[in-house]
Amino acid sequence: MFDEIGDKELMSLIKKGDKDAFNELYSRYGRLVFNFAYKLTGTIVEAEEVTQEVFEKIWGKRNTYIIDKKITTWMLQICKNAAIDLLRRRKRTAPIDEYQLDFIVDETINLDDEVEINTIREKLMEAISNLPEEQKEIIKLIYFEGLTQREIAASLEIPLGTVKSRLKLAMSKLKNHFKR
Amino acid sequence: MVMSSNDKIEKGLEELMLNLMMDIEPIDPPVGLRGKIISTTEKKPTQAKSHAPSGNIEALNPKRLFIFYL
Repeated sequence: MFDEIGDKELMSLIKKGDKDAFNELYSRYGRLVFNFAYKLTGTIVEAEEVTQEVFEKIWGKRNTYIIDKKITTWMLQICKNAAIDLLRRRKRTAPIDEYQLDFIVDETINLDDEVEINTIREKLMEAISNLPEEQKEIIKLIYFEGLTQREIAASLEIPLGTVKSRLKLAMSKLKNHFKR
Repeated sequence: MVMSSNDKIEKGLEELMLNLMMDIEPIDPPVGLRGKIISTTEKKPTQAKSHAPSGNIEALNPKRLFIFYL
């Protein structure tokens, strides 16, 4: 139903209180937010709490969202603040050094130089095309088709552990290529 | 605005790029998380609690009324 709707239109529907559109927003960005929260908190339980808080805030503050603003920038900023608040409330420090965290998070969130982004995209597409076929398939199914690792294991009829190991190898190769 | 397969690839590349920049190896979110999140849309907005007496003074507890007038 929402396949043909872009983010701006989706957010317009959410602003009007459309719950199905909100569900779609989770389908598009739930994993990104969850993994970002996991990186910041270091535990699955806390990442789940933070992700829940992020989406609650998005729903609660939907009327304040400016449609022209990039949705990922807005969501990841809320996620960063929610994770830092949670860690402070529990008197815990982030798994990575706080200064390093701020630097990485801000650099990541504020990536808005189109030329730089296009260069990175081109490098990434090239890196993906150089992966072995079975690793390329996993990357495509996860990132371009939005499948979960469990769904991939079921659809390819391979163990979940195999999916994870292929993904690990692929990410490691992409990271090396990306850093060059 | 239509979300074409090109848009899907763009989105996928963005997520992958962010994951690589943050050194994230993606894991699946817990299965029940979606349900918890969607249930938040069912919650009624909480009303702000006021500590001041309401306009209907007679409706107040007599003890509180007494303290209020002290």
